[in-house]
Amino acid sequence: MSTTPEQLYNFGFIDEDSKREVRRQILKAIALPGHQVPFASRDLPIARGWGTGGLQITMAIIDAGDVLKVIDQGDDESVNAVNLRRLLQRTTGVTTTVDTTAASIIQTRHRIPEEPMRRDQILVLQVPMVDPLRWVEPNLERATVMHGESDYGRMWVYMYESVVKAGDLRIATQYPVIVAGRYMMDTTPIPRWDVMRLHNAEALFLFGAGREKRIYAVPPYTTIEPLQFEDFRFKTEFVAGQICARCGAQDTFLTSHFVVDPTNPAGGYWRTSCSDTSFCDKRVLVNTTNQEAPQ
Amino acid sequence: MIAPLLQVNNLHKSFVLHLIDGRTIDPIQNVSFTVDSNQHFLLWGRSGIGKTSILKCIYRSYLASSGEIWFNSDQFGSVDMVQADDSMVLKLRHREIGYCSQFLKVLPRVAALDVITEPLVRQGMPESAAHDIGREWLSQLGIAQRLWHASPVTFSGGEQQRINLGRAFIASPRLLLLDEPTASLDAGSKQIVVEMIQRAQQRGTAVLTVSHDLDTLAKLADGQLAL
Amino acid sequence: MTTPTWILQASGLNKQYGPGCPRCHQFTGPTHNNSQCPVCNTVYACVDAGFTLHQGEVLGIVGESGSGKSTLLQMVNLATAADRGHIWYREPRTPDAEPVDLLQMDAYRSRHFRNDRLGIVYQRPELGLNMRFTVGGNVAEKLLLANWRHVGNIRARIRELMEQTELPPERIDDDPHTFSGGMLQRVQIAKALSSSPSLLLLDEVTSGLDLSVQARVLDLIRRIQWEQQMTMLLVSHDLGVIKQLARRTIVMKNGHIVESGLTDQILEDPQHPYTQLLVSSAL
Repeated sequence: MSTTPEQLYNFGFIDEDSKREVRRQILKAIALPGHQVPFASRDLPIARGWGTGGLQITMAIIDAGDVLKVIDQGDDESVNAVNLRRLLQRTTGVTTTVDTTAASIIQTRHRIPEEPMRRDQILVLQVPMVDPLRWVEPNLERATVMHGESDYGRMWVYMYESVVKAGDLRIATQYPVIVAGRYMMDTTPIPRWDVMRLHNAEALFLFGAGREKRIYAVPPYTTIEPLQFEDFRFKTEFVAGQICARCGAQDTFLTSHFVVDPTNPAGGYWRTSCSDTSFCDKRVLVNTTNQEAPQ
Repeated sequence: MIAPLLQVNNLHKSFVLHLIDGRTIDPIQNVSFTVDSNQHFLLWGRSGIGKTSILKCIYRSYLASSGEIWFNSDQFGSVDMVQADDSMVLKLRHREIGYCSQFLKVLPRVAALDVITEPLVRQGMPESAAHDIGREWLSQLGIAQRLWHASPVTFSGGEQQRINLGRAFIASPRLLLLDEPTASLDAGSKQIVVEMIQRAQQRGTAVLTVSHDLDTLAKLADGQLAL
Repeated sequence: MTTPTWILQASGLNKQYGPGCPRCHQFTGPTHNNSQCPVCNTVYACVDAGFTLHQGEVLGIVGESGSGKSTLLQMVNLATAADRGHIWYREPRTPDAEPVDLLQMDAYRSRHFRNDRLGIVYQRPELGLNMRFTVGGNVAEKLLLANWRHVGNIRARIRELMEQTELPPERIDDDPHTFSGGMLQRVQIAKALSSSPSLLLLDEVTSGLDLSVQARVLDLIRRIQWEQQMTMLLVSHDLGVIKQLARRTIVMKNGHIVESGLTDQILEDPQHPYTQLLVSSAL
């Protein structure tokens, strides 16, 4: 009987002891919301910085009965999402889906799916940068002490400076938040659009950084406060008037790309569309059914 | 019987000069005297006999080696200036004991008016009120008005000394220690000093003067000790 | 019984770097002119130091480099953890409250205390300021830590503090690198004063400035002391600075306090051989 390559590996690729180690750190991270827990990041068949942190979390918590969804920039079909999904599917054999509501584990880079997540779902985020204090305190040891004493004055000076220099809070992504009134956390992969969707959410959010070897978590029903001033509030990327060219949505996070006019190479326009493709597809489907229904 | 304002018993002061093989010198040995309220007491003797050292021991710029210096304080009762702790000495200096050194030592950036009113402001008087009193004093001391906002460092020796005395007298302490108040002064200035001492006594200040200028001061003194 | 006037009472403060050995006491201390034990290489930075600081008073700490004066200051600043000892603190705003031992506070409260009740000015501005932030941002840090969350109000307060410390308020958003040494000391002072602290710690604030600038910074400190009745702990190796500002002085050598007293008494009638040397060396 020939051995297929997939069977050369343990269920979920990494060995059981390593998974247990990751799970232990996850439990610790859940117990201390927003606190960065170091973990022994393993070597994986993809390079660090390509989602190995999130991948290890998924590998450690996945079970044969899980239904998996993997997205990258909200898109199920981007190269990275497809590769990670294929790796997880081959080493575990679990069912995969593109439907947010059908998934039990969603591994993501950059987005929280538009459809509200339920309490039986876990969102695993692949984190590039873990520490918001890195901007103001490059020394890791001192930054750790600052976290320990919740000494976030310097981060607030950074926010103040951004208002002074740019006239408003000029932080595009990596928006710093205070989790459960205690630890300052970097919301690295997600846009400001999604920051407040972490607040008092039903689902469990796990953040994994493979290169930085850190895990942190936002458990269900945890308060998230973005750093903001009374006269300069936290804002999302919402631009009034922009809609999705496919489904017509105005209430989703949009991405844009430039469409060149085939008749006039110098001309063209910016086309905006939903970043969450599977949700967009659902809406397109609903729209077409509605149009057909009256006939 | 009312206790005297100041009672010095068997005062002894020696200096140990560690930098010169630990040599010891004893300028004051077994000095005792008493100063009552309102009294003008004169300590006199030739230079180098330790007159100034006695004043400094009373003011606690020097630490007495042995003996007692009892000061009868309004606020704190009898205080031994030899044993009292530093903060007690500071409180007494603040309210009750004034000291006027032989030379004026001030920062070269502070105006004469601020120099002379400093003790009043330090006691909590508002600056404007203190300045009113200060102007009065400066004109009484014969300091030209154009100098009031200049630093006394630029003044003549006589003017400096008058400012120095004025600063000591202005706050009306209960005991005023004067170190050679008339040295380096001309006859007119000396007369101003004499009047200041007399007026201070009228206001209830006891004055302890160290001087070798007996011609000017001896007739004012109602108690004296020759060293 | 009147309420005591002290706000800080330190006793038995010790800081050593190294394990210590039975022979340390034979080799270290002012009589041996040495802070480091030649047997075990332990450095005794501060040994059994204690002092009382009264409300509104300036206490000078004088001594040569390595005498432990900055260590003592940093222990009061709660930045260096003392090995032993107590620092009792009595809050001047609530004089009837029980004094607290600052060294017994947990890290969170001690950080809050440092930010709220203490202000510190260092000799080198890089230590007290973050040179990557603007001048205004540096002054704002303590306000932000104290939960000031309105940029307009914060900037108004920064301008007020800059005026108080004789800095041009229109330079609020300038880079600290464009400021002179004396101005940076003023920025540090503005930052230290921003929380209206009850104790200001000054660590060689005028060393390294030229004489005329030194005099103006000292004038500013004296004015603040005068106007706000600020309690200060002033570390300096310069007797001239001590004489100008401090009424009482502690003399340190090799980690020990060798003498303490009224500043004029220390200068005119120094008792300890080292103090006599120090006074005789004054320019």
